[in-house]
Amino acid sequence: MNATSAHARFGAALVAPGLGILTLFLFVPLALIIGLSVLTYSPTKIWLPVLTAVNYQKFFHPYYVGVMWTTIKIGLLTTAMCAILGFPVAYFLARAPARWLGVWLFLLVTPLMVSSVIRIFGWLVLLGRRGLVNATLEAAGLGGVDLLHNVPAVVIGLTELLLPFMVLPLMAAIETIPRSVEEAARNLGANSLQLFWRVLLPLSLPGLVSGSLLVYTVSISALVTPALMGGRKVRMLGNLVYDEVLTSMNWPFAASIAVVLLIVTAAVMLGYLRTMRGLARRSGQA
Amino acid sequence: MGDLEVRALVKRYSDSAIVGPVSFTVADGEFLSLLGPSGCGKTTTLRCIAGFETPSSGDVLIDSRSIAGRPPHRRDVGLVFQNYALFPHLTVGENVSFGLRLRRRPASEITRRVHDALSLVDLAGLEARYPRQLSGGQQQRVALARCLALEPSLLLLDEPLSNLDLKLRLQMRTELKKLQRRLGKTTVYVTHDQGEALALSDRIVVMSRGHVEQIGTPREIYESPRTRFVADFIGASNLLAGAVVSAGAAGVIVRAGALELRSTDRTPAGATTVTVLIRPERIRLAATPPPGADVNRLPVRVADVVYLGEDLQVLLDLDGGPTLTASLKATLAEKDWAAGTALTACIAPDDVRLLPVAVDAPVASEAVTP
Amino acid sequence: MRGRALFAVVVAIYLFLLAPLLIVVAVSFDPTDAFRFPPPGVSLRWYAAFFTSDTFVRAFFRVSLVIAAVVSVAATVVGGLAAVGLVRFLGRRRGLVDTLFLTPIVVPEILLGAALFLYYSRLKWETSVAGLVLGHLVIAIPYVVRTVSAGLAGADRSLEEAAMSLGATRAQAFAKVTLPLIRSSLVSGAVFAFIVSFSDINIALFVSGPETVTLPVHIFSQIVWQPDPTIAAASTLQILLIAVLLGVAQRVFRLRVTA
Repeated sequence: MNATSAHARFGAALVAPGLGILTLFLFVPLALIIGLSVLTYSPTKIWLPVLTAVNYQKFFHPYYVGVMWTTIKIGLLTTAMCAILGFPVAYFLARAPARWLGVWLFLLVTPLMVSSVIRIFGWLVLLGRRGLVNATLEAAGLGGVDLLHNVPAVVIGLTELLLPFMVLPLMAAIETIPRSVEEAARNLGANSLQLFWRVLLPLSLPGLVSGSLLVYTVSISALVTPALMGGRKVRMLGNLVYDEVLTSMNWPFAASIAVVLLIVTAAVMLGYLRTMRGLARRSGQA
Repeated sequence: MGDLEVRALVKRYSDSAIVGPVSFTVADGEFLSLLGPSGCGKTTTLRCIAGFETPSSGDVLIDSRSIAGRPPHRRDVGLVFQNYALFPHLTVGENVSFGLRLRRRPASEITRRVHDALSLVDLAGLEARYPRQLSGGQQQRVALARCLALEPSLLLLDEPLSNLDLKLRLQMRTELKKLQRRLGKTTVYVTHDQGEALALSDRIVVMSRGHVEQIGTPREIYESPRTRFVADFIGASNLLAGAVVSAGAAGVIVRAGALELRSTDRTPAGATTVTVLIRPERIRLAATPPPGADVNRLPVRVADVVYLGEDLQVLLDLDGGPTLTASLKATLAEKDWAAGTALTACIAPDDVRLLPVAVDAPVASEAVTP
Repeated sequence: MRGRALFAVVVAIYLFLLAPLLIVVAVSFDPTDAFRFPPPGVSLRWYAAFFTSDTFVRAFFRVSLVIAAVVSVAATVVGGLAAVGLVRFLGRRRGLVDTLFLTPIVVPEILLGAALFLYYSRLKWETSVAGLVLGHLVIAIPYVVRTVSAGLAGADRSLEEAAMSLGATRAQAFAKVTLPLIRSSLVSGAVFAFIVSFSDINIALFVSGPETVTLPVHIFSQIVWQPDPTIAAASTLQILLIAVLLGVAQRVFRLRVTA
């Protein structure tokens, strides 16, 4: 008995520094934000210890509703694009011979690890007003076009950024489908589309949901991509937080936006967990 | 309606391993087995017929029409996989009706055909269960029903019984044979189990290291093997290195060690050295030499007796010669043959088979019993 | 049949994925400042501009590199200890603590950045290296914990027990048997922590100050205020650094698999 509690205490001691850092620099700040979101804004003192619901009520203002809607729209579009582009890649990697898999994975993961600013800079060079596409168009005498500062541009930027997040869990899910099941379907007469729709998709659903969750939650909290590729015309919740914190200094309002984002993320997570449990029960995959 | 021809099929792999050329035909309604150890190319051949491998050269024809160019989903063959490959997210009924639904058959027809297919394999009524709720044997029968529901011209089975335990395997074997006879489906069956091949097949293709060793009925394969490999792989054998002494109308005389044996077999293509095959159960043992001129009679001494319940294995020493293993039913034998007992071994000339000396096999002089 | 079409589609998607990076690298060698592709020639002038720019050099070497190195070491130590505690000592209570360590991955990074900024203001902390390091530690530690936990789970416990039966104390057995086995997880955890810190933009945008401008933050402000191909040179250098580190990490893993 003594051994196990000494055991556990030693374990607690090992875990303490990490938990300590997380508590002090993650949980406490988040808790403070939640608290700040219900306090009153003051232009002079930034916040007053007076409870109010004003910060959340502000969300119903048409401008902010618009920003919310843009954020959700971009989130859904990005997730859909990632799913469409991600599935072929995930299938290819899941069936790739081990010899080549390393190379393909390296090429997939490396962009992920490079700072998002750099990747967006690349898109700006390509799509910007003085960029490559425009330079080619102008050389052909077609005049310049503003390819940025719209929703599709932001979706393209986010899709490129987040595609690996969709591919990796989807690939893992497809790997669990035995090749003989695919061959059986083909033997019974399924062409590629039928194989995808009736066998691959239902059996890889957990991976698809997992990837979608990841892509959606990251894309709705995007800041750098809409800032650089969307400009003034495409504003997302992330841009709002940044401006309110560092420019307008309306911290209570910024906090409420943060809380809304947190709630949306948590809700999607919970929805995901519920779906997973339901799916597991239905398909009965051991 | 469903005859198959495999013509000079060759599959080349990048690491210079080759399967083929393989050629054989299967008549309509015939049960043919591809038999051999793992790596011999039998599964590759089957997959070429199913369309999951593309042959490097050669052709596959059904009813004299080439199907080699067709993708796997457009060939009229049913394939039963070793691990059944049932769709885990579909019920038994949905699994069996999968092919029918793809072909957009009307619902009433689908229900009827699914029911018929499941009845054939004795699983009627289980349409609503999921594969994970079934035993291995049941899953395998669902896999079979799934193919049969589409009424293909050709049925392919890839070691379907190897994941089942022994008793179930023997039981399924009988049921499979009955089913095939009843439906008259042309069947190609892949296995490494010689007992299975002998019991099930009308004809067997024995394969080794990517090429065909012999094609024949089970009786031909067992009693008249044409190569050392076939003799070795199927049944137990005594294999001796022999030199041809004389060959004439009355038969061939070979010398193996200190033995001289008479055989009614033909010498393989004018060879002077041969491998002599004597099946253990063809050696008759007697305490005193029986009368009669036409039998090889060898004086032997018992080295050891191994009791196997139903059978008795008797290891025999010959003076100055090779050792032989004889096999007899325990009921017929004198169980008290002690080591050293002198007996006479009688082998009919018909039972002395002559095989070509295998190129890479060691020239041994002892009996080889798998 | 389908195979070739699939391959073509996958290659196209990979080109999409890698296009921005390829363009950045190409532009960094462009002798003109007019963003052309393919560039009309090869020139190192933007790299020269990078190395002669005080702000860029400072951001890369004095800020980002240093912070990333500190974060890497600290995260590996703290995270490694936590992983050992989780896998070997906590047993039943593990579930909750496991989830706690996964939280930073779930929380959107800008929330963390904003929260830290507000927190530091409340505490009246000036922007500092420490503030940034701590912020990065929060997002780096979960990676280390996950990698090392997986490595520990794979390390056979009976090897430690065998060492102990031969006379080693528990600590010695751990140090001499298990530690070498999880060495590759520790290294890969360290590499990921480094990369996560070096590439971070969302937290740094909130928490960095005039003295602690990281490379990504500097690139960001340059894009907004003064875009020129020096950014491409800086970016290419970062890509190079990260690719090399990832390559090293993969090598370490390969070694593990065969050993």
